[in-house]
Amino acid sequence: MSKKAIYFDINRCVGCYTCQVACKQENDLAPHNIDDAVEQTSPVWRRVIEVEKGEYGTESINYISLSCMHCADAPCVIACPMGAISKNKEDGRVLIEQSKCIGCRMCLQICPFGIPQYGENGLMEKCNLCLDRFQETGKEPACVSACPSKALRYGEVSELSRNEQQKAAAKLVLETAI
Amino acid sequence: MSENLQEVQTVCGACHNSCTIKVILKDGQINKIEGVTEDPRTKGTICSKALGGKQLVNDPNRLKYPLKRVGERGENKWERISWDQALEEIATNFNKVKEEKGPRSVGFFKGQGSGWGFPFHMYERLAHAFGTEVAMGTTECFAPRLIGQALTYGGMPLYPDYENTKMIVCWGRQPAFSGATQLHSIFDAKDQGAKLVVIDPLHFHIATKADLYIRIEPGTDLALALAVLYVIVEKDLWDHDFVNQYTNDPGLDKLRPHLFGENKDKQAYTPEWAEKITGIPVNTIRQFAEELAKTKGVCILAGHGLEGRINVTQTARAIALISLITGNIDAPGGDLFTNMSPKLNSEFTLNKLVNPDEQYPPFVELMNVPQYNPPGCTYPLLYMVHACLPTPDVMDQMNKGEINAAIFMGGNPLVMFPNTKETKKTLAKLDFFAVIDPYMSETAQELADIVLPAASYLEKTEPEYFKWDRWYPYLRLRRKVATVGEALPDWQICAKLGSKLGFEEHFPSEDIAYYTDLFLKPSGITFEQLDKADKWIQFGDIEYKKYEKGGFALPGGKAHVYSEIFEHVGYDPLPLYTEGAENHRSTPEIAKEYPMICFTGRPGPMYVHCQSRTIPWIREMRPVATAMLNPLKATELGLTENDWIEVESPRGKITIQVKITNAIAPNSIYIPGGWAEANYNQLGIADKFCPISSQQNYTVCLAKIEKVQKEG
Amino acid sequence: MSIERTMCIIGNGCAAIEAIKALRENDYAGQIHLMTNSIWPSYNPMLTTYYVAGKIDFENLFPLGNNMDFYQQYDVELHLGSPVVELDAENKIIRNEAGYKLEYDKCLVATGSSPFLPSIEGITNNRVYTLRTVEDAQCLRKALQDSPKKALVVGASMIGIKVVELLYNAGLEVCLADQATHLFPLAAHPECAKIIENRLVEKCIKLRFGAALQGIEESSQGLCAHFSESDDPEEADLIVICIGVRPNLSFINMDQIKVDKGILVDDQLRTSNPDLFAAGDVAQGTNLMTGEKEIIGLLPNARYQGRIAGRNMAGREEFYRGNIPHNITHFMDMVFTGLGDLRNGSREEILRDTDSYIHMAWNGKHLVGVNMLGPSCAGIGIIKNALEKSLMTNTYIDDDGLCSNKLQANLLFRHFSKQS
Repeated sequence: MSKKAIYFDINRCVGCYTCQVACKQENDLAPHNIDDAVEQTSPVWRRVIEVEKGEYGTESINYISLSCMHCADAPCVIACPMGAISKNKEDGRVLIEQSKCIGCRMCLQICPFGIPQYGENGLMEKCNLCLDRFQETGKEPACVSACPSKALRYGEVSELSRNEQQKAAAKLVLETAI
Repeated sequence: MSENLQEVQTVCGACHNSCTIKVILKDGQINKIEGVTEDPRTKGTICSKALGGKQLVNDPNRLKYPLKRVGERGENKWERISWDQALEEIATNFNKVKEEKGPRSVGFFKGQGSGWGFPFHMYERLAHAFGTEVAMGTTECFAPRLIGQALTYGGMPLYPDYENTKMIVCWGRQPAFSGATQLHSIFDAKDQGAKLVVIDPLHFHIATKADLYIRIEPGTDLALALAVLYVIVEKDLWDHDFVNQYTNDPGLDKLRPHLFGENKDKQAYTPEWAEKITGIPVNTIRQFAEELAKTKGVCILAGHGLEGRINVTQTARAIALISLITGNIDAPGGDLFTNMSPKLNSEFTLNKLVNPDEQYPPFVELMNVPQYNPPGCTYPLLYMVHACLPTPDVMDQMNKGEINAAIFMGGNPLVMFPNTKETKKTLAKLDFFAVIDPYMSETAQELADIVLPAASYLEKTEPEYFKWDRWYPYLRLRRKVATVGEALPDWQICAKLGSKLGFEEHFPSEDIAYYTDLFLKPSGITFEQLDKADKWIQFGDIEYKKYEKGGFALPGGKAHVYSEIFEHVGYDPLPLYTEGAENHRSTPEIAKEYPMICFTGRPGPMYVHCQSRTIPWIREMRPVATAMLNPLKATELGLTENDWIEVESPRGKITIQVKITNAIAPNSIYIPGGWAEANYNQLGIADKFCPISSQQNYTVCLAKIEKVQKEG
Repeated sequence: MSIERTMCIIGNGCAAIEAIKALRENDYAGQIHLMTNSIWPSYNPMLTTYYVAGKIDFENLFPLGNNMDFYQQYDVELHLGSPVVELDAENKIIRNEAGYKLEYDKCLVATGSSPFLPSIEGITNNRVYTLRTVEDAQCLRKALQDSPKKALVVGASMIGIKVVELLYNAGLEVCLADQATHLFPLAAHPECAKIIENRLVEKCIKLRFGAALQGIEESSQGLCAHFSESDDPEEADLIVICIGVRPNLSFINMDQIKVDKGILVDDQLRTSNPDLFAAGDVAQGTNLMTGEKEIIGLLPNARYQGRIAGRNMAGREEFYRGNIPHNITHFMDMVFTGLGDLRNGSREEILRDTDSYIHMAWNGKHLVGVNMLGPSCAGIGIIKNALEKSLMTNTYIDDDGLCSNKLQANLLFRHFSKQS
């Protein structure tokens, strides 16, 4: 099994928030009541973030669907004193073993993407690339299946790269074609 | 699939895109909701609205049984009653009014919540059996686009040919919010070289991915459309062959002089003229118009963002003409007509009971309209295409005491109608008022005497053919996968009430199969076939240029550049510019005190109108209403993100928090719709209407803002 | 490498383990000797408070397991209970307490640090504890089983607050004293500290500030500690000293090796001697914010330093430019995090709420310090990384992006607003 990854195509994301709630549904995450929802205290494993730059007239707004990046050299693995976080060498998933988590927040301070969040039980939780879903059904992560723009794609890293290169090449041909 | 898991294919009803979904049940309970890969429109995708479904079914706020008011209206005190008792009360009250004043003194009102396909026709059947007609609903929504398009080219071509298009124009349309499951088609088209043009006062979501983004002053789309037509005709870029052969204005000999100034206002609709109104630079207007006209295969997605203005139908007409004269209607890469439904039983809605002279055609497709104008109807074109009594007429009748009892199915006018105060006063005049809703809506809580619990789209079985955003010709079955208390589908409530009112012959059954079979009779499709079908039943094909064989479904068989029907009824046959109801040009005096252009629209990708605010997964993403305000304006007022402001219009004021963004121009403020606690409808205009469609000017007005302190 | 070489690692903490991994993963096939005064497999000192609090078991103190598997797997010759007393960097020889000598080709000093004890009367009393080693943890845990009633914690430091928390949760009456004027004197702004202090007071934890420990004596009740700021002594059944740590480098010859507070190292973790490396709490690398050399005694820093030292020792050129001072601690439903130094700013912004506090300081366009206190402190890692990157590439993060007011608006306002 070679490493799989989620490819996020920023050129296709228009901020529809489907991925955010697809993840909630798949993992049955909190909130389950309206008060918690309004307080926004529940962990959000995949979040849509609006990034705005520029002045009026030259403004640019981009939408990012952000979740754990399952980093190749994950800083959270380095930061965890309990060895509760590990990177699976085969499928590339960075996984937290909650039974070892002590909620010390070391991973919180080191993650460049601000991913670690802590549930009601005080333990760190985050995206696991829908490990259960994969093991039960072989399906790709829920956010990828749901994304209506197909801005999120899942597959083997080399294949994803190749697809993007082909698209870029095709675009180049289109733009330079007479 | 393990033993306790079950997959059921059904149709989402969170909005009218009606995407095919599958519900995965675990031990009989909804576990997950997903897209269906084989669906030709969604290709397996879904949107944020549908994904709240599991929590929708388990929402503790859902109404579970019929309620009768105790105490005064507004005290929110209720007692539980049985369905039988509830319907008995409604029937008794309705029949009493009918006896005293006639059936038209009872209102059958409708909102968006229950849908526009089969449930609408069941409601029509009920209303017509009673002796009156359904009111409200589409007047607030797509009626103007329906009129503008239908009277131009005989229907609504709601199938964009994304696979072959070379340009997609989102005009008042935000696919991130509506019909998100088409986004992949739009981007695939872009990958193949199609150009994306987005015309929107707000530079966000889809607009951020546009190849050409055109920022337009809210409410001025008509000026842009007319100027685009002007440029296309001026530069002779229109499709000569098509126009000459298939429209009623060969050579554009009628349209041209009209655009060039030979019209009632003696106004030439030049880009220079339009720039002053829309704020769009002349070069941009020209660039857009010329590129559009020169592109072979253009889809124009005309959205609800165009609506809620007094010139809305003219706008829809003008945009329809752009598609028409450039030869994009039913053409490869353009917007195609498709069969909108299987052949439906034209007698199903019992039109003869309100119009005895009605000659039933052998079948109908969509909106089976009694072919007459009801007494006192002031909007004949609306009635002609959509069979909804116009809201202003009906509100007027209630105010005058001519309608004394009513039932409201699937709508929340106290939040969604302009001028909340007046709306409440009007509805409060009713002697008897029943509301059908899945929740205790504001309308139910403040005004109802009887509240009936409605089943959501996950709790009912019914045929679904209505699918607004990409009208692929297939029929699917919506399947019940959950039960919430005693909540019932709207169609079944109609059947029960119909029977209680004494119309057993029209409502002899509570079996969906009975009504489905009756409804679909001319098509030969039965409920059983639909239930057993592998995925769905296709009832039409995608074909181009059907007009070559069959012409256009309008008098004369040609498309109407020059609308003979408009002329016949007394409106200008060519799109005439009308200034907006309240802006710097039309009401400069008001603008002095209220300088901000204040407009409303969708509340975001996860909400439809006022719905879903109690669904935790949905609400978490956007827990409060925030008004969009430009940083330059914010700085001027000393505002930082999430500060509170008071927004005041000549009609009222609201307080709301701000979101500071350059997506909006400095002279405007955007109030998202559907928030009862920060309700734009307290600011908007209720007493000015599009004279053709009756649609109120409820989306744009003028306001002033100031910073306020508020306990968060 | 055909010539048999010897790598020596002094110390058995997190830096040492990473160095071993780095050596083997970079094809170093020669001998690795590890010499340590500890008798245990590698453990993490910061876990001691969790063990004493009963939140983890004894076995969990050892991230690699309470066994020698790791050393076998990585082919390390382990010398436990073997404190190094001399390191001759010129001749490349180390000598342990028992007189055993080892010649090395390259050596890594990763001996960490030890709790600082003031030389005052009574400091050696057996009811005076520190909390750093496995032994410390075992002792304190045992002491708690004797149902003490009152405890005194000296040192309102990161460790100190965790000790206060565990003692409070164990039902003891707690007093926290510090010579400084406020809690977290190095990491927190006094205003931020005040919020935390108020919380502690609400829980009936006694606070004594400006209180330098002057002496400890036995009393009829237990122990009695004397402080500088008042004549009232503090009675307690046990005292825990948490006033900081000092690097373990007594065996270093300062004529050979440049030492400041810790062993000075460059971007490749080399000391002033090319074959001697240092990593972890004993090493003094670069503080990216000040450009000065500073010990940043934190777990991730130790691990990265150990790893980069190991790679360089294996012959691979790699750099670790440094780190920034940072702290994060979670206690009593609060998370406190600090970056840099708030005192170095010329401009600051503070945001306050009933249960949250954010304080940022800038020098011109450079962000120089952050304090965050709240129920979550979400997103702090983003700021830390953005800050490090800007410092490493010598760019400041300008108004359009990250560590400026825009970042506040985009990220940190989540704490104060109801928007996501």
